[in-house]
Amino acid sequence: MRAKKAALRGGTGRSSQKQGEKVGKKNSMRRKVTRTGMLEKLKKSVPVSENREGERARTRQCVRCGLCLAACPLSGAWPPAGEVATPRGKVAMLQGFLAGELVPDTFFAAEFWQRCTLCRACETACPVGVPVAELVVGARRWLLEQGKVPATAAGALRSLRLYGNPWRRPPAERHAWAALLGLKDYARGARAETLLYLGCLAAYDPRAQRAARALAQLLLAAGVDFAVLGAAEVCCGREAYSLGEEGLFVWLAEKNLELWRRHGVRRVVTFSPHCYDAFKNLYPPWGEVWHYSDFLAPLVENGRLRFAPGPSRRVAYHDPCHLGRHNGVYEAPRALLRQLPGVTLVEVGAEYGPGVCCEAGGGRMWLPAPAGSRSPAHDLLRRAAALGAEVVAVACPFCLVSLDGAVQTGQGDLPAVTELAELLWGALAR
Amino acid sequence: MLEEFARVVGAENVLVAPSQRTCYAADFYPGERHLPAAVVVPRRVVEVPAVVRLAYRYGLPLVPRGSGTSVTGGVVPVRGGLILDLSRLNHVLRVDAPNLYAVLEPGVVWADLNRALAGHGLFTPATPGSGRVSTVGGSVACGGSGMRSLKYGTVREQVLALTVVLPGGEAIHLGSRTAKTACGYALKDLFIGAEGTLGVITEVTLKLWPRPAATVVVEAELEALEEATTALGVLRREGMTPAAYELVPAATLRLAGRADFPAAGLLMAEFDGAEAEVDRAGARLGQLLRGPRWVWADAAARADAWRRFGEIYFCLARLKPSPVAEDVGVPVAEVPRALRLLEELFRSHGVEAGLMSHAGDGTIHCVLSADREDAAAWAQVRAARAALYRLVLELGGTLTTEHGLGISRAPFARWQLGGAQRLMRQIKQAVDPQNLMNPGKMGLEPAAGEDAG
Repeated sequence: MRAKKAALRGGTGRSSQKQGEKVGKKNSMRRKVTRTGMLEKLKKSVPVSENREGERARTRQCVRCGLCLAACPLSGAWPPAGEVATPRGKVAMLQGFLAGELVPDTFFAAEFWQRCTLCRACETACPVGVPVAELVVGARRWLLEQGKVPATAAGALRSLRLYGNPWRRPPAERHAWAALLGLKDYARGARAETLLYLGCLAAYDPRAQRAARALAQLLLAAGVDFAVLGAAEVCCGREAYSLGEEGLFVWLAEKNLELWRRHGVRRVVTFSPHCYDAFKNLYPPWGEVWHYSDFLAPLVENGRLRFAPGPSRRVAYHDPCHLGRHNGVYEAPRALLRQLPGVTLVEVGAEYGPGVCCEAGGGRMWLPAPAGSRSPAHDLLRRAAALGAEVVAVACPFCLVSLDGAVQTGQGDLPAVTELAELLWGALAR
Repeated sequence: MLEEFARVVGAENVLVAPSQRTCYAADFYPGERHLPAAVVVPRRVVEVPAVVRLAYRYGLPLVPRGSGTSVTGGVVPVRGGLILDLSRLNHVLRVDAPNLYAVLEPGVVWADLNRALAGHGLFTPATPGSGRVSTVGGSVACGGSGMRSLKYGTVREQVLALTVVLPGGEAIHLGSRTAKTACGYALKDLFIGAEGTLGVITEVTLKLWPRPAATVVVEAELEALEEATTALGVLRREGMTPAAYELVPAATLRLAGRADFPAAGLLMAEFDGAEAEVDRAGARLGQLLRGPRWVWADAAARADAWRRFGEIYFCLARLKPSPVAEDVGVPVAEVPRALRLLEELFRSHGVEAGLMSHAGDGTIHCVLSADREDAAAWAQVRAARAALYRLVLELGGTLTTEHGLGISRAPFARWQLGGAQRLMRQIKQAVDPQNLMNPGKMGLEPAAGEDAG
């Protein structure tokens, strides 16, 4: 397992660099692809209810070996336990539905909405490659078509359509803090090739804002010429996609692509792994897309960011699922942490086993767990505490908000939760 | 009626929704799917006798189930009725280090047990290949074992005592926590491998072993499959029994995607014990083999070697949507010949199959590519399986070494059991007169056209 992880990390770092170079050179050609690329395909894609055979073939890949049972962080979190709460159970339900043998009932709907963060821990364990996360999204798409959608998720989707963010917050207030910091803003006529795409949590959530501000300051300190979209920024659409609202995702994606085209953006650096995943994997091939951890690594290596000696601390790094398992970025955040004087890195999820989950991904931020459920976020914090970690570092605003909330509600002596960018900014030699 | 079950285990632990029941319709064996009428998930062991009593009162078939990793249809509810999901009874009740045993609830997962034992410097060598998710109770019920049974014995040899809930709800204790017992019939052994047809296992006392100080893994490319058996004979005579001794023929490796594999077969051997001892054994095996070979002593390297080896199985399992897993056995010296005969047999039946042998104990795992929805191909698979069983019996072998009979081997059990099958049926009749415990399995009911014998 350890060897596999090392391989994953090594391989990923290289491949994302390489893609960056290649795409950079052929930028004009890539733009053209934008117009007829994956978005067009997505727009034409058949809903699950009309593509039963294709979907059923994917469920039939499952050989029911059960290796996913030990991986799912949510399968034991609330009753009922047992097979019905496992990834294998979900595949069985979906297979029954697609074969026309099962009419989705209340339980079916609840499981597919609530008991999955699209974290792909099950896919990591799966020896035959069943695309469980995509199957869950497919089921949600169908449930949405049928109007079987929890009110909280429906509210978030409606808000995305009306306000470009999932919390009904005024677009004019989006990234108001960025203006106070004096960041260059495309909407105010600034020009830059590099867009710092901040995302909805950094726009409105005070905790995430603090971390995003640290990131912006790091980029300024490193002398990177970048701009933000300020009040003009709209949601990347990843969570709309996760909640099964494909049409809305396409609509948001087109808005973003149009903005980037208009402002001559050639490179997007994202604060959130969720936005990163959307731009990199769900949008048509487009320019350079970086998660900030990958983007900062060379800036530290060539000395544009230097760190001052700091107190000795044990820091556990938690891999955000949309950065790690979805995109294979394991090494860059760790490499940055290792650059901080005094920091000892602790591995909290060495086997990517159960419990290593913040609970907020895959639309789960708008799909609260049933009352009284055991929280994987607390499990993670306790595990980190048991390993002697004083700080849990994350590189994702979803992890940050969720785990920080878990610290507030948790029992006993739990480690503090910090965003990687905050740790870096706090340690910067000035 | 279901309210009564709800009163025992709590309403949220009686699952009746169609989507919930669908999850329990099948296991790894693709041949049969049946929906249970309901699933009961006890929270505590003390609830089990009450559930069994109620099931018997209402004449409901009852299928005990752990993690559902059976590959023979063993946990498929062929007669409907209830699934008794024991996966939440997963507590390690006691680790008795001085007496080297652990008392376990049936739903304890092997990997969790070994994690719990690591702190005591102990381990259990009976862990099967599926040990990351499969349960101790399931392995005991199926008479299972893993690749380390050559040196340490199968699960059967690891069980000191059992608590079993009989049909009707009475709990009885079998065996003894002493190292040996001569008190009465070996009833404990009757329930090991009974596949839930005689009662529900609710507690297992399992033998523990001190963690070996050192382990080495030898990986070797063989010029001829016979090298493996010859070398094993020498090792055993010289008192160096390997813990694991795995052999995969070249054709299987090619099928699993290693097109360029250069030799006749791949051998993986593991030795554990004192450091000097395992080093000597590893070196000795190296001497006995001719082709290229590697000795992995470092823990990470060993884990990596076993991981690469483990992937072969699933490379075979994903060739087609519904693979069928077999675990026939032959006397150890026959393994190389049997591997060649089996390859020929599957080729002549037009079935793609990979073979992996626990060559130390004579087990040959066959993974047959199959698509359950292709009727003609499925019939071919069935014919190949029947021929397979005939062949291994001719070689003095057995239909199954570790998976059990379940549904998939039930029609063929008679070929090996002969007159013993009648005695099995009499025992079943005596213990479970209403035939409610995991019915329709193991060939315990006369099939149509079969004389009642």
